[in-house]
Order: sequence, then C-alpha cells, then structure tokens
Amino acid sequence: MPRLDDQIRSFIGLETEVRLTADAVERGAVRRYAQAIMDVDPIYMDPPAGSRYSKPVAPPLFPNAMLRLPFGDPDLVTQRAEDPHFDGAVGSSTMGLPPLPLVGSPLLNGGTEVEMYRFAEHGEQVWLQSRYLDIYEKESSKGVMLMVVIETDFLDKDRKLIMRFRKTQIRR
Amino acid sequence: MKQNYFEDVAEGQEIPALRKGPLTTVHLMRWSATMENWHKIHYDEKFTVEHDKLPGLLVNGSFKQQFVMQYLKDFAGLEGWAWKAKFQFRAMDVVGTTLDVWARVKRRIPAEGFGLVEVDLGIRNLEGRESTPGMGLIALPLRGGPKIPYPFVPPSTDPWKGTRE
Repeated sequence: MPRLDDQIRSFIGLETEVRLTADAVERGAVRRYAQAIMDVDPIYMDPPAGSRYSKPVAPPLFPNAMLRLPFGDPDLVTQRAEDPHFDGAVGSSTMGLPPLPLVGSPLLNGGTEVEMYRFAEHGEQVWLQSRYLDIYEKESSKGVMLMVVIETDFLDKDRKLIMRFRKTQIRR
Repeated sequence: MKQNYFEDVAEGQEIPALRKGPLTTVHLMRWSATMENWHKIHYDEKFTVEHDKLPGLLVNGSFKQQFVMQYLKDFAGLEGWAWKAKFQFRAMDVVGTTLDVWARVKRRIPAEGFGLVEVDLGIRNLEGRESTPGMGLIALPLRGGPKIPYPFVPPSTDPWKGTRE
C-alpha cells in the first residue's frame, strides 16, 4: 500500500519544461479521434460558414492526447516487455513528469478538472507544461490510497492558454 | 444544432441525456490506440483481473470524459462555450456497459454580455448507477446580445474560484 513518505512528497511541485508535442494537430488524427469518441461534429472537418471557427478544429480534449512518444525516443513498451508488473501505462499517464517510485501499484483515473479557452486548430502546434500539483493520502474502504494531482497547461505558439487540465490519479 | 440561449434555461431543468454504448472491447481498443496509451486494464483481461485485481476490463476514465465534454459542447452550441467542468470517477464501468451522460441546471449566473449556466452532471449506466458525478459551467449567449468572445474571455468573477473537486 503506497504511503506519502518523504520521497513521494519531494515530487510535489516538480514541473516539466514547456515542451512542443510530437506532432501538430493532424487532420487524420482528428478524424480518428472524433470517430473513436463517436462525436462527428462538422466543426472537426468542415465548420459552418460564418461560424466562429474559421478553420476546422479538434475535439475539446484533443490536446490532452498529444503527448506522443517522440520519434527515436526510448520505447518503454519494448524495454519492459518481460516485466510482469508493467501495466502498459506510458507517456500521457504522467504527462512527461518522472513517474513516482511505486512498484506494482495499480493506477486508476480518479477525476478531472478542465478549463477550456478555445479548441486546437488543424495544423496548429501545441506546447505543454505539467506539474505535480499535489499528492495526498485518502482513506478508503480498501485502505489508504495516494491521490496524485497532475496539472497541465496546453499552450499555443504565443504561449496563450488553450486548455488547463488537472487529473487526479489514484495509486493503491 | 439548436442554439440554447441564457433566457431559455431554468434552474432545475434537465438537459436531454447523451447515450454512448454498448461500449465493447473494440471501442476500448480503438480509444486506447487513438490515445497511444497502452494501459492494460482496458484490453488485457488476464492482467486486469489477476494482477490489478479489478473486476474486468474497464471503460477508460479518459474515454468517459470525452462524452462529458461533447455533451457540454453540444449544449453550448456554436455560439456558447463550455468553459469548465470537474468530475470524479467514483465507480468503475466495465466493458459492455451503456452510459448516459446527464445534467441538471443548478444555477443561472448573469455575466458581462452573456450568462453562465452551472450544472450538476454525471454518467449513469442503464441500471441508474452513477459513476462520474461532477459539475459544469457553460457560457450561453443572450438573445440579441453580443457574441461570446472566442477564444473565451472569462468573466471578471469566477463562480468556482477557490473550489476544487
């Protein structure tokens, strides 16, 4: 059962650099995303004339899926292929932050807070910066859980906020 | 798509639900591939049950939150703006389930040039079990009023300032 010890506590406030995502907002990626979430809103491909969308846009939370493995970077899926405890969670699970030193501790999605300012546009590049906003213990019927709050700012080329996204992960 | 206006919304009003499902392993695999997130609890049943001690393949929280944001976006329409949402994943939904996203208007909050609609929201399965309680804050235009700025410019007073789910 993970506990909030000094080592875990030292991660609070840890922040990534402002980083460019691996790819720009690609039309094909938007199509696949919209189909996967079963939301085929015309604004994603051909916005109505005269609307506020002068270009096609991506679904609201699309930037949150833009933290892909950059080409040539180490591939955890292969490196940990024979690790029986490897749960497959990579990349976007920690939003580029160093993972907490928890071995064999299941990770669950506990909740989300999102602030939206606009949608990302086709062809646009997106930057992001993430931080461990808070880590705290919570009692549950199954014992103590660690609640890990990761905040990520998604920024445009002028470093203006497209979206702020906070997710709470549960570690048991 | 119908445009909702602030004047047309009443406190206590139910917003028509958005149904998704049944959500199969194919839906979950397609979503995982779209995200390039290979967390096994969404497609590897043996690992999910034996290693993580979970009841079965889980519908991703990251998947369910897409439904919430679609729902709020559609309620806002082309002229409104779904500004904020917060929700907790309090119960697991396993593969095969059908989900309804729902919301009820909690408060109408006049702002400068538009109105804010605060809603209670959630995701229920067909048995009525709530898994994802939360809230949303949507800007709706006034009839005959100015356009809501895009990118969105928040009002000077944030009704949720200092609160966190």
